[in-house]
Amino acid sequence: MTISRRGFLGGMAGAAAALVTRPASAGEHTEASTFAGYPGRFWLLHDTTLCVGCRSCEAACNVVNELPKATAPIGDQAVFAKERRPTATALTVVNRYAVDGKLVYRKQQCMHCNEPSCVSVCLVSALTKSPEGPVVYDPQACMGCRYCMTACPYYALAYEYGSNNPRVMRCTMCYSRIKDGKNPGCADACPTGAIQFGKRSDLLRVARDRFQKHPGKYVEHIFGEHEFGGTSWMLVAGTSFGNLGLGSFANASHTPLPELTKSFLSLVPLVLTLWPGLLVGFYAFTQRKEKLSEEEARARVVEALLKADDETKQKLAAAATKAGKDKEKEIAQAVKKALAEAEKKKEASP
Amino acid sequence: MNSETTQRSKLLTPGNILAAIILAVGAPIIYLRWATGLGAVTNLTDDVPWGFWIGLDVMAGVALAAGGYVIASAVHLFGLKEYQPLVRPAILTGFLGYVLVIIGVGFDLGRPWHVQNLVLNPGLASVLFLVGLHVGLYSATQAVEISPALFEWLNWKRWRKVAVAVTVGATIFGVALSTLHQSALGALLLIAPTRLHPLWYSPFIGLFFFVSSIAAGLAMVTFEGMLSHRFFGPQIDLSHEQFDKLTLGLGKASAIALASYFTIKVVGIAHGDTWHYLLTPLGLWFLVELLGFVVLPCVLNLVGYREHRPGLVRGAAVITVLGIILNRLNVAVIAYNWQLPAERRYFPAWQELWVSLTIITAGVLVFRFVVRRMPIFRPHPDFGSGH
Amino acid sequence: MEVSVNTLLEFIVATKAVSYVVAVLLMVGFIPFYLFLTERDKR
Repeated sequence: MTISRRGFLGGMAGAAAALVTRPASAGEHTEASTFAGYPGRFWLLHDTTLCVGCRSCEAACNVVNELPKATAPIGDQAVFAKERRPTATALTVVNRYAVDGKLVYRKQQCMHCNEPSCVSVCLVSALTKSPEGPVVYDPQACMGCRYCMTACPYYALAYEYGSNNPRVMRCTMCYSRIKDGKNPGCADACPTGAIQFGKRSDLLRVARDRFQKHPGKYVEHIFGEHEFGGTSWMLVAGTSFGNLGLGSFANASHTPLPELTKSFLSLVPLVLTLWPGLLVGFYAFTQRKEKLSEEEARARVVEALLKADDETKQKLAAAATKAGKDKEKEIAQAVKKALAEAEKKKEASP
Repeated sequence: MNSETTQRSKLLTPGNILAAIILAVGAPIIYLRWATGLGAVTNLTDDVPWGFWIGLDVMAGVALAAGGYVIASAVHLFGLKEYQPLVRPAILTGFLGYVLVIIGVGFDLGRPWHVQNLVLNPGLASVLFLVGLHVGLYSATQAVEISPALFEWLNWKRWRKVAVAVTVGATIFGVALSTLHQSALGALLLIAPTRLHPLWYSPFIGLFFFVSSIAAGLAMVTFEGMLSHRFFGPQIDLSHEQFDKLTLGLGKASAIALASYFTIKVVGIAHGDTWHYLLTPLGLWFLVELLGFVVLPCVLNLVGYREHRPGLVRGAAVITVLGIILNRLNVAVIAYNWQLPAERRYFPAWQELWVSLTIITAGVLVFRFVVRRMPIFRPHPDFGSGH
Repeated sequence: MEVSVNTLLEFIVATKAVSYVVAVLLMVGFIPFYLFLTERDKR
């Protein structure tokens, strides 16, 4: 295939033009930036020192999300015997922990992370982080790969394994209620104020106020402020979070988890653009090597033929000389014989 | 009367009967999975969303199908012409392998009828998006690479000419795609440092998966060759001596690949400072995987090549194949969720194992159909031993 | 053209979109580049 110079340059210009009209550069953000998140988004503050384990939040959540009522009724203490996790029909659960002889309760659900792992891994963008704060799930986009469930560090996602049209199930932070200006169901139902709903900046101030107003009551750490880039559910507690089942996050990095895949993803364009050059180079070396060895083989054959030619010529010359010499000898003998015969004849006749 | 009985006995070979049983049991399981959902036939839970099907059918399946790009690049790009007879079987194995992976994924997905969203509404930050896209593109590339055999069988001369002309380009594209999706399968776990055991989790996990895929591909080519010589003998053009010679060469390459893999795994431990995990129960399991299924076959390949003993290379190939399966299952299931209490951990349901077996059996049957009819193991009499 | 970027995810998606498009175009562009480079070799 031959390409004219004009054709080649024209093609390149066309591609460049297409590039210029491509959207989306990230402005003043660089590789070294941190990201502040959506301004004015909502957070929730869970104060475990105020939680009494009534589980009204669980009941309200099931009502709001039109899920079947929990099998263990409110007030049933047996349900606290084992640590539970959110399931497809219980989007939030309250667990009980024994700390220094006292009973402490903690509500658990999707943390609506600032930089959610689940959102970053969803290959069909079924999970998205809304500007209002909640992570929103679109079952119409979802293809059920369950990568989000694999990625979540809080084990917050559940699945409808019993259905042949299954959805991922998780706390929605009552997204539609929030958009209507209402509070999430659990926040409204909580009788002790252990769940507070509001804007991020307000709630951070509320939490820090509580630390100041009640020195010694709280461990002065807001869980969710920074862990893995921070979450929308923040917790404060009167004991170390390790005692409340969050021990694996004790030294959690402040770096969002999607940062860990970002560096791998950058290999894609690099491999796509470098491998062709590299591999075509190997191919060219191989072709060249083959060509050279073919040429070498051909040269050797020609040389051999030439050598054979020389040798043959020498042999022929030698043979000719020998033949010539032999011939001379033969002639000399014949002449001698003829002369001898002639002599004999002369002597025989008078 | 005689020909009828021979026909029936030809069909009722032990192999065919076994395959029929496997498929007969597998079919209702597959029906149940679609009728009532994943819960009916798997032990997957909210804690363990990925199980045996992801670990074996997808992760190990893709690695073991790597023989296609490894042999194709060896012959077409690096000029190792003596392996030409292995190219078509390797690419066929690779192509069928990827088709089986796609079928396996199709069973595992909760809503596969939404798969077009991968293209319509992609999540560009997702490593799985990469895997999906590149597996699709690469399967198409392998189809192009195996198409000359199909066209020779159909005697479509012009199609064959075009297909052969694009072989080198397709090989290059295939290597680039393979590099990306083989490593991406490992990189899937990068997002979950708190859930995968530190001895398997590493920022280099993508590199681990890619390098081990080379070893996997080489081993599968040897392994498939072993089985084909045993079961498809009449179809094969290579004599046993010739095949042994090639086997030794594959053993040499495998030794290097396995040694390289061992090296980077050790570097990974040093990088993550995870030495102290080695004497824990899972750490000992890690050593079983590394020493028994990487170092051992490496040594067998080494000795087999030096001493001209193809039997050792073949043994090494079998161990390597098992090792790849073990490694992928470790990453996906066994070393994953390693901190979960015992009652929340996972063990596959027998139906999960049986479905995987069914898929593999179907693949073997298709392989057999193709090699008995198309010029895979021997060149077509009209076309010679072209690519 | 700039989009406002509030989160790391938006940054990743925006930069990846551009990177992939650029990479594919350049990768495809390699073919005419190589053919042009070697077109006189057959002589």
